[in-house]
Amino acid sequence: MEHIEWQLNRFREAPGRPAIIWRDREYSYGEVHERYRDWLGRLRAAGVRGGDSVAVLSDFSPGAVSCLLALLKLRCVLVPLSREARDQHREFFAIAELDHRVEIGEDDRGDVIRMRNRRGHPLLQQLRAADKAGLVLFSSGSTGQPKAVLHSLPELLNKFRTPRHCYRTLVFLLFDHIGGFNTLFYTLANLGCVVVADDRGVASVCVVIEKHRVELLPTSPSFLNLLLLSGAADSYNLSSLALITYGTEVMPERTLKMANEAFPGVRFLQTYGLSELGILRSKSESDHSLRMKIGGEDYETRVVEGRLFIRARSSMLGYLNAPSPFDDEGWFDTGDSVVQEGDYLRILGRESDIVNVGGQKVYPAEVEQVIAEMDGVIDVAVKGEAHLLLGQVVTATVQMADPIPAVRMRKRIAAHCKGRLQKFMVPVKVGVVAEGQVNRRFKKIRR
Amino acid sequence: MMKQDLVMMMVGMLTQALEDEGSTEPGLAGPDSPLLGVDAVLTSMGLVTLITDVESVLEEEHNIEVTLVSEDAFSRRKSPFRTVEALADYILEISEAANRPAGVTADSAGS
Repeated sequence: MEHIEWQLNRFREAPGRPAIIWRDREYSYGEVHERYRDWLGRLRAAGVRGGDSVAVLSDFSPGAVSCLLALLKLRCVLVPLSREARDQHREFFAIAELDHRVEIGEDDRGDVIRMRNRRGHPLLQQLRAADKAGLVLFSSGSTGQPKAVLHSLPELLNKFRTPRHCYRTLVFLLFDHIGGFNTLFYTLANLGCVVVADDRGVASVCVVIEKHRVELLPTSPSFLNLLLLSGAADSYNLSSLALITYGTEVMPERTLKMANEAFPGVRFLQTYGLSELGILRSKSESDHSLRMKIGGEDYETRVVEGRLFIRARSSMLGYLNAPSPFDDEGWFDTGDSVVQEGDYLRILGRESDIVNVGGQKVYPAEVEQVIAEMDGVIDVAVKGEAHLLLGQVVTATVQMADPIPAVRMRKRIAAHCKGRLQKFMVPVKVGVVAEGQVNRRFKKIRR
Repeated sequence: MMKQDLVMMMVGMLTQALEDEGSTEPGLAGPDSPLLGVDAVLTSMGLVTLITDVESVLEEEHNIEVTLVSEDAFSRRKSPFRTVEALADYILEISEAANRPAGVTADSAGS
């Protein structure tokens, strides 16, 4: 049975159950099913056919979700695009070879607009020949142009049919992000409820958690850090939270420790996934641990020279605008440095972020963790800077609660790092910023 | 900024840097202290940090913006990093060059 038929059968089991909460209104599975049928008719009437590449410009909403499901039924190539990526849309339209685009407006209704970008990319043709639905996601490559990742949807969606726990889940990650896509299809498959916040600011997210008794918050370490610094846990009733999952970047130990203290009784789970491979099943060693097992039935992993390689049954077909990254046996180099500790892995960071000081490796996350322990430091970002003497040197930008001259702060950091980090890891240059986004948000909440 | 003030400032910073590195005789820092080469008083990390600090202090406290680690500095036959005094000369030289009005060079000024 195709995934969409399976999913619709699930909808029929619980038509009255809430599927999506959007702008404080509940939409039941029955309503989403109805809107799906509505979209199916409209898309057909607009001339959308199987194999067409169709973008949906929206954020999570009942209309956008129903439209995606209808496109899945039609076996189209789905190209979800969030409004936040608007500046890049024109470029994305061409790369994804759009035949149509659907623009979902503020009223959650949409128009189907005909486009003529098809050039017959071999991977898209392969998908059409197999009569399968597809998915295009743009991965935010750390360098250069975003890469267009093409998945065959039957393979990617297959894993969601295994029954899992059902949660009231806040969709935190974006509509066009593999994590957001995963959250959506996981939740629908298990008849959970997707809760949409107005925006991704700390206050909006907390309001929605409190109001709609959200149980699962999938988020990033940066957001957790902001949440903790804002003291929002004391200002809002977040007691409905049962599970917080975190991924997409390296979690600082301090943040995890503070989060555990701020949310006693909440479970913490590290997630791991990539646009190219989907989200793997993961299991943290404990709520307090950065070590985890990853895998699941569809994935194999191996570590070669400290670098994580993954082979997935549901990996992408390839990039639409770059050569295939898979080796002959289908392994994908994640670019992530990891340490194998028994059965567990610990993620150190992106290999490309590693700073090379005169031949010695520095992981920015490791340095950031140590600096973040210091009093008055709100946030810190560490990176490498080209240097004629040493190849690269470590530099840090710290956001401080109170202003302090850069050199004095550099010395304070050096004193703090002494005995905690090796000398070449200590930032030789420090920039101090007083007001960042974090601070503005921080103040807004406290007022 | 006068050369003498600059040398004094850097000797002070070098003394501090030697202390930070755990040197037994930080008081030995002076205008003639070699910064680079076999006799260098600091480790290479120490030197890089000192130079970066000097750049930051010049900018923050004296409004002088200079880049000391550059192709120009490394390609000179006599290295500006050979002593504290040589570095002071180099700083004054490049900061004066940078402060000259745009489009007016020594060659074209008179014509």
